[in-house]
Amino acid sequence: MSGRYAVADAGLDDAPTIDITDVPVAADDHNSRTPFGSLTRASVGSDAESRIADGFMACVGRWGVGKTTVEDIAREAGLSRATVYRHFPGGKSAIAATAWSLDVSKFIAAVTDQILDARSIEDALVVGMTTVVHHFGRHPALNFMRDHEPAEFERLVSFERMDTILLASGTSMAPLLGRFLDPVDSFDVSVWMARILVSYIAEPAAYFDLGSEKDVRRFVRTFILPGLAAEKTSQTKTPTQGDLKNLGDQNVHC
Amino acid sequence: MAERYNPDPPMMTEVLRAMVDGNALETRERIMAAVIACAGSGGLRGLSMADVASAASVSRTTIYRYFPDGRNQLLTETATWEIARFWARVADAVAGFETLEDRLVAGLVIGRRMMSRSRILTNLNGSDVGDLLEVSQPSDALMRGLVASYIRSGLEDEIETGRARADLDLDLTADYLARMAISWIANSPGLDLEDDPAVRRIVRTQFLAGIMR
Repeated sequence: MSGRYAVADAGLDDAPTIDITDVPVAADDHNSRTPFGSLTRASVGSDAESRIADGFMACVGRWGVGKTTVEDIAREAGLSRATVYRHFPGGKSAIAATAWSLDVSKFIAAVTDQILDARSIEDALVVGMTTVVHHFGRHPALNFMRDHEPAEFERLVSFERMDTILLASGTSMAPLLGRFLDPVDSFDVSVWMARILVSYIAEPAAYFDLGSEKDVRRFVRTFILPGLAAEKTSQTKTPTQGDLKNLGDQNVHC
Repeated sequence: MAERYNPDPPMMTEVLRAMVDGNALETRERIMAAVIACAGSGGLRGLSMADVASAASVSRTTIYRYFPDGRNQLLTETATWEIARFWARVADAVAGFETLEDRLVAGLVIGRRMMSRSRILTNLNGSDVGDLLEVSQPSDALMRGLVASYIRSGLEDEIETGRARADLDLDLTADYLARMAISWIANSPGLDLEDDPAVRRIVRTQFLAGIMR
């Protein structure tokens, strides 16, 4: 998946074109791996582990989580079953956990690249949301699960996991918005975006197309930007410091 | 996904009332209440028809008369019934508040409180999560539609009184608010939902800032 494509191809008219370059899609060709940013590199394990993770995603994209066996994953990764178990003694569920966290690192890297080029908070939010949606829209594993294994799909974003997902989104995305907003607002709006994206990706809305940059911009202008403006004039602040401390991240709140 | 949305849903409370009280048979309800009780103490995985029969004081044959497709049907319909009861209680609790803002604030606080007191959710362990999602997932879209239609009527009132913007896309806005409410009730890291001013601040900024005048 090394091609470029523009959001403008999706039938937009007046919106500026955004290049989504090398948005990495899971189950990608192992040999042409995109060089990701430092965020990703830190969490990428050995080459064998990423091949196993890719193998898992490829199988899930083909026949789902339920029917995928460690045998299948090994074959897909071109490794023996023993090698797979040496890297993942926990078997399929351990592979799944690593595969999904690598996948998240990939799209965080893609979103990071896009947001760094944004010139306003509006553009940053629009390009951030659009990039995430495009990543998941072209994601065979996720699409298979959503269409055929809804309970497995929901498990990925189930309420017991969502706190972690939301806080992690806040921590990883907030520094990118620091050019436009103060740290507390950056964190809050990042969590807010993650909340919205999870909801609309899991259950697309009938009223607007999250894949259309024009619709996303309208959405951001209608619901998000006025909220940020209201935040500025608000008296009290959300007590997010405690959670940030729990995550051990000192960079967001200085 | 459009086909899953009912474009003209009846008022949430009416639908829920019918599902919860209306024509529901007493025995049927007793069986479903027994499922909730059994799931609350022993989780879903080990829950057997025999346990449910004994807790509901009915025979297994009776259970199969009401739920002919067996355990899976029983669990899925019970989940829908229980989630509908949850939202009916939230709707009842916020009915006394006049503005949409007050109803949203109260709904988040009460919904969150009910979630934290649920024995099923409190006792949930890892392997049970998948089972619970399996039975509750089918009602997700229905419930969101009901919450959205409830919020939509509140929005219409706010537009009429001039408090909300008149140029709103009502369907999009009601759907957005329903998603936000459901998401916040399920997950609110960093926010004590018992803290009314903090909840109000969230409602004013993330829910309503672009909606109210």
